[in-house]
Amino acid sequence: MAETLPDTVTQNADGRPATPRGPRQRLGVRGKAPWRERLREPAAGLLFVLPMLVLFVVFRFVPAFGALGMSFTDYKISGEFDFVGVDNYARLMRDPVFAVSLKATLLYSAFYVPFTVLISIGTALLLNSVIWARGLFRGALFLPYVTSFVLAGIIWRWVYELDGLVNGLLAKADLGPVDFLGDTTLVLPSLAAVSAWKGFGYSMLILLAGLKAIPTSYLEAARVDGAGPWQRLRRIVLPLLRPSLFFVLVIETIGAFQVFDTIYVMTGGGPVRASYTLVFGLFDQGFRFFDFGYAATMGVVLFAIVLVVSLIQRFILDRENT
Amino acid sequence: MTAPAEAALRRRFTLANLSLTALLAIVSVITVTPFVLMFVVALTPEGAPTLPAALPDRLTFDNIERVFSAAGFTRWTINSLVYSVVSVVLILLTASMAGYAFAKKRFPGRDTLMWSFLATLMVPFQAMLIPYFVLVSEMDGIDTFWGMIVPTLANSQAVFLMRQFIRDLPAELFDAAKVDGASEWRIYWRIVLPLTRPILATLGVFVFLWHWNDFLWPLVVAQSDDMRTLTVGLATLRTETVPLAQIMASAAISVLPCLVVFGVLQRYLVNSIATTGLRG
Amino acid sequence: MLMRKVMALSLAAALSAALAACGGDDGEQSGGGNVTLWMYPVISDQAKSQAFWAKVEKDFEAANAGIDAKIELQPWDGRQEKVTTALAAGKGFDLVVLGPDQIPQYVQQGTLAPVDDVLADKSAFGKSALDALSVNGKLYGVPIYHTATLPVYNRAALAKAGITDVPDTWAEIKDAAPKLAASGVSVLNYAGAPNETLNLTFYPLLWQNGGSVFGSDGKSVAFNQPAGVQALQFLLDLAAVGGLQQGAATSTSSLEGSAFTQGKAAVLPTVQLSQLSQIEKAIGAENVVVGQPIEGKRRVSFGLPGGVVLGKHAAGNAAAKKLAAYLATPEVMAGLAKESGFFPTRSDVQVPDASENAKKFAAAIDKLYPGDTHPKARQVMSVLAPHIQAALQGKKSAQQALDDAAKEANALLGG
Repeated sequence: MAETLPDTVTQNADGRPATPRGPRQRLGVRGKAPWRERLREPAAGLLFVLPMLVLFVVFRFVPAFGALGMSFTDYKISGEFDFVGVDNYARLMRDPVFAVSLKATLLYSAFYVPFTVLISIGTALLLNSVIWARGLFRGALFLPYVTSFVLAGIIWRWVYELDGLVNGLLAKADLGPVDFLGDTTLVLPSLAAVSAWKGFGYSMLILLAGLKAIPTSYLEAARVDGAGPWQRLRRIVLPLLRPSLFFVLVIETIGAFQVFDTIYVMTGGGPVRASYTLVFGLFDQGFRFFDFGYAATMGVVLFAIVLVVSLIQRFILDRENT
Repeated sequence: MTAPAEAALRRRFTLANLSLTALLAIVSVITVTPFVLMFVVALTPEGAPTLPAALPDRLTFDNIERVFSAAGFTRWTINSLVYSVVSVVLILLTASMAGYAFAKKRFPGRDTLMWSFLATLMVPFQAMLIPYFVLVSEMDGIDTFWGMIVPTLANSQAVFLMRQFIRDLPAELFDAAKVDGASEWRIYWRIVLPLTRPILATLGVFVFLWHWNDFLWPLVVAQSDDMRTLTVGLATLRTETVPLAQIMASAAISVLPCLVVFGVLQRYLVNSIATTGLRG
Repeated sequence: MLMRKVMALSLAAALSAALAACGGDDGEQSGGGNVTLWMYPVISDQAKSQAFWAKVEKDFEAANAGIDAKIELQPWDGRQEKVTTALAAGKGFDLVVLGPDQIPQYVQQGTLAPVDDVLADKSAFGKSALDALSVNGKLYGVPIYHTATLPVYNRAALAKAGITDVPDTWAEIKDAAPKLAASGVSVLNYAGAPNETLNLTFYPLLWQNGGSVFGSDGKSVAFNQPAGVQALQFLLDLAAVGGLQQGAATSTSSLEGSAFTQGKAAVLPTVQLSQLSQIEKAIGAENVVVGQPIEGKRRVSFGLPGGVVLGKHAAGNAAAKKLAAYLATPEVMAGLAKESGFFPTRSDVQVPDASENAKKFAAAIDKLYPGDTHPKARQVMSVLAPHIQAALQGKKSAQQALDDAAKEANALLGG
């Protein structure tokens, strides 16, 4: 039976198809069919989200609201608590250590995020354009992401120590020694470098997948039009890479604000609290000092900060698409 | 890039390619060296001089064997495999479904929901660990596989990633299927999943790694010896005076399955979305 | 108002569980029952550790028919999270091993039950061990072992600088510092990284100088009094003449790669018996000298008892109490001491086949101090450590660093 093909397949700004008219005509029952058709998409959408939605409601929203609730209490491990209003928040605002932590976290993120994103883009582009042994290179570059923080901590201490690898090289040039982990200004960029080394493989693979999703014909067409590699990168590759770039930026930012492991294995928050970041402080307050109300408060404030930063990123990078 | 493009590149930029390869090789050295060091230290005999001060004069498998011979080793490995593999399968399924809906379906509250999923990632895990744990405990999930696995399925990164990639699939494909009267499930199963295979493979690698290397959650939720995962089990061998070689041996052993998974899924990563049938 | 209600509800949903869980589980039976003990790798050889605890479990079950005991070895990593979550849910262990630095906190959180009735006869136990494990006059931990730390010296490094007698007083150490520095060796190996426990670094110096961390009422700190300032100044004076290793302010306590094991430092001030074999491998057994506690105004070093504590949710578990009592019997204690290199807390226990060095550690037991037991001891430590680091890096004077730390710490104690 010959189907009536939709006369036009239009596409609105966000890439979703306009409702095709074909099937509706085919059903031929006036009145009922359009109604069912109109519900088909939202109903399907909700059903597809449903399994994840249930999981999120139970295992993410409930505990997150539990933590939010905790921040207004003096919760004890025994389960007893009293409401203390906004006392924890007031204390946080007065706490000089919180101010120090906030500054350390912001500085660390300011180093880490651009650093990691640039390395991932760079390596992804390289991997995408190189011809020889690309599987091997991809595996090699991804290795740090597979390793444990214990290993990263040990290796990078060797690198940074006063009689370590870098200082050995510097000494040959009659420079140094530089106390990377002992200097309050150097410690955050040094830690950011460790995290970037450990973590860039993640973003690299995602950007690589993003690159592969770019239709080759676009690039060919641009080449035919005489666009050089740099122009193709700027005018075609980067704009089309935006969904994965946006993803990488958001995820890396969230990760940067929650940095814990690198600091735990490298400096323990030092020197002189120069790397005492928010989640490190949160861990201390919660699991070392058992001040869970206060720890939850720090969590809520950190959440608010990251949310605002992410929404700004969305506003800048992903405006027309979300 | 696809084969013709490669051929074109090869013709035009052989020199450029050579320098790019050299650049990649240099970066690779920085990422591979620590790995090699790990194996060297792991193979150093007890008490012998080793890195970073000196190269060991001979190598031994003693450290590796000692880890293998730990009483619970097999059990831990099986538990880790169950935890990781089951999670990979379930997350790939649920996240791609949700990602598809967020990317291609219009329904009320869609963007709010998507962002509230993502927002849960912004709550530091340590801050909600207590309510989270008490909740799972109330559901009698402590010390069970489902209690270990199911809570981790709510993975924002997975949903977000799938959504970002499905969003750019051309609308024509879906329209054509709808015209043919395909059911929503069939569209998802026959169009969305095959087309997103590379990104599913990427996500699969990540989910496996996250679960395989996960420490804190399996540590607290699996209370008895029988439920322990490999990361937690190996940590129980780490006494206060354990030599570095032993630590490295543990690290080397636990990393091997990750390499295998990455190696196996490599070929899917290589396939571009364009070559799986979607030519622009 | 609505907000408050929503929060109360969500809290209730997520947390009421804990209350319910804490109430139940009173399986008080005379004969049988179950008990789970979480043990930590205090025995450093993992094969020996597994064998020892398996045997303890079997012997206990044989002696107490009908009781099913489980002794589970847990990792040190993530210990706080694991014990805390288990207590929050009232699930997991009945008994767990904790140190006196953690017990007051858990008691304050309302999660532990006293164990006074477990030890019928307390006379055999050292008083200091019992005191360290008590909070508000109630015993919360059954002492099953005692750790001890002593200074260890590198004989070769000292000899190279012409020093034959090990320097074990502050004056001798000060005296030795420039001589050793001349041969490129620091006198002390100091671990100043802020996540290292001060119990192994600064506090012993403070105690040796007659100081203490907390004031006698526990409502303020005392480390910035002259005794504390002098102790920190002692370190700074050493540093000034090359008496601390390079990067001491950020060094960790890890033996591997430390200045001492590389022969670049002459004294490692707080060493446990179980660490000796690793040190012997690094610098040669013939060069290892175990000293007595270092003397400032008095001779004291750090050591603390390990206590088996009972979760409040298991307060009525008779089997748990039986197991705790069993672990404190002379036979088990002697076995544990032999395997772990720690010391018995009972005076009537002799450790079999003790080595010469082990005897030195055992002899020091009455000169050991476990630190002030205070529910906020850890907070105070984490406040103090960065300021000491600042002083070691030359950013602050001793007085100023300790005053700044005291200000922060007192705010914590007052609040």
